[in-house]
Amino acid sequence: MKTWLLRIILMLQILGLVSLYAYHLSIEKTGKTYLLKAEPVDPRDLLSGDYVALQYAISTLPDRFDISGFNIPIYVTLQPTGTLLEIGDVTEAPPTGNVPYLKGRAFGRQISYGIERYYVPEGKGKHVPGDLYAEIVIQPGGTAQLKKLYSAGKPWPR
Amino acid sequence: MMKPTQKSLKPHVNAWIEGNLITQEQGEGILAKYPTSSTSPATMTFSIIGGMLCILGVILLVSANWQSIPREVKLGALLGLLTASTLLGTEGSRRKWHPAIPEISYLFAAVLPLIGLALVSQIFNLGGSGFALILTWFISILFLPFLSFSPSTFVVWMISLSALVPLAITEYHWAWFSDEDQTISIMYALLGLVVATASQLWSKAGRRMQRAWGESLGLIMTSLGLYTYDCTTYYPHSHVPIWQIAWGAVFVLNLGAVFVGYKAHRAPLVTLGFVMLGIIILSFYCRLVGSMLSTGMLFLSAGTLLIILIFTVHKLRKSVLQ
Repeated sequence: MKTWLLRIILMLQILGLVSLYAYHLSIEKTGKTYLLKAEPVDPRDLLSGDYVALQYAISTLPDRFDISGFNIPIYVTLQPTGTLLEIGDVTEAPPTGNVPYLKGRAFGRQISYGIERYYVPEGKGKHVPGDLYAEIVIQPGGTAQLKKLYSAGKPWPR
Repeated sequence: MMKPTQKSLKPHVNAWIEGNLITQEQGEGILAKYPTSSTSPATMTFSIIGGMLCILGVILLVSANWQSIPREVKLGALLGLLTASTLLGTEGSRRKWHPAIPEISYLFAAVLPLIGLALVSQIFNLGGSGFALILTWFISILFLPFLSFSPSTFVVWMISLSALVPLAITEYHWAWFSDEDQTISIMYALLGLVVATASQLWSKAGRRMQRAWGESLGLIMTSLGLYTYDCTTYYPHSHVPIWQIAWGAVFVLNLGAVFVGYKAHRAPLVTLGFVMLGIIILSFYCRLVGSMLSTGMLFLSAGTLLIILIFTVHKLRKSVLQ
């Protein structure tokens, strides 16, 4: 048995997990934040505990866009309407210019952005308010991260 | 009954030396063959119960305060556990401690990276692909079973590898054979064959336990793949049922496994082969007579067949292994 090789693997595992943590932490700290209207449902993940599954107004592809297939990478340009955002344009290449956009995957008319679940303390996900707003952070490249949920102007769950 | 120790034997050995039955050197030689002291079974039992209660207490304490623990502390604790388990595994193997210590440590070292990935996902509310999660985990433990030679890490490695197949097919909608379900079945069947064949390489390293696990899991995967191939509940008009052929192939495959196990003196292969043969006979019976009998009669006859199969398989296995 090569002890030193096992130690190298251990170092790589630690480095991998710390890098993953640091990467998402940097997105959270440095990315620009936006507010999205969210609709909740309430499942439970065996591995990670309770979470609220979310659906956004931008999760459904408007009829004017003709994209078909499953797991298609797309870029969704966001258009501000008041304090919230809605779909402006949908392209298969990253948009140019200084417009906020999200990277997602289209599954038929549904779009997944990787911000569809929010972990909550055990039992807190049973009574989810209807007026939920999601604060998201967008990195250059369109990668989004869900930062916080708000209900009635206050962070939720309390 | 307590095992003899140096402490308990010393008065007797001294008496034998004094009685000129044995020499001083012989006395010392006899004592050297026994451990210095032993723990009584009662002490051992209470220590195990106490240890388990302490571990349970720590788990309950952590889970009750999970949300208030800072995320850096959570990650730090996990990395600490990962480091401790790997180091305990390597040191335990090197210093020839009780085999259970390095084995359990390596098992933790194999599972903790997955828990770490799940933890980061939970901290940052990531809802990414299950395939990417398992693939990252698999890559992180890719070489662990081959460097540690730990059978439990090899089993974990195999589980992560086999989980990748359905996740990749369902997430990327690969339907190479009529639909996704049949693609999963065929890929499982092929992967099982590859795993069972590749596991023979463990013989070169003198690791029979890993080889037995590889053969057994490979046989289970191939049998499962063939067994489920034609189990689709929805049949289009053009569908020609071939479940009889697929199940027949499982029967022949496991009969072959029993034969190989008998010839090569591999008891796990014989046992598993017989169990699978029993399952397939019972499955054939239930599927063929299921629509002919009333529910009560089906339960009664299938139960009777199950009892007959258990006894027959047990007898056959015993006679083959003898």
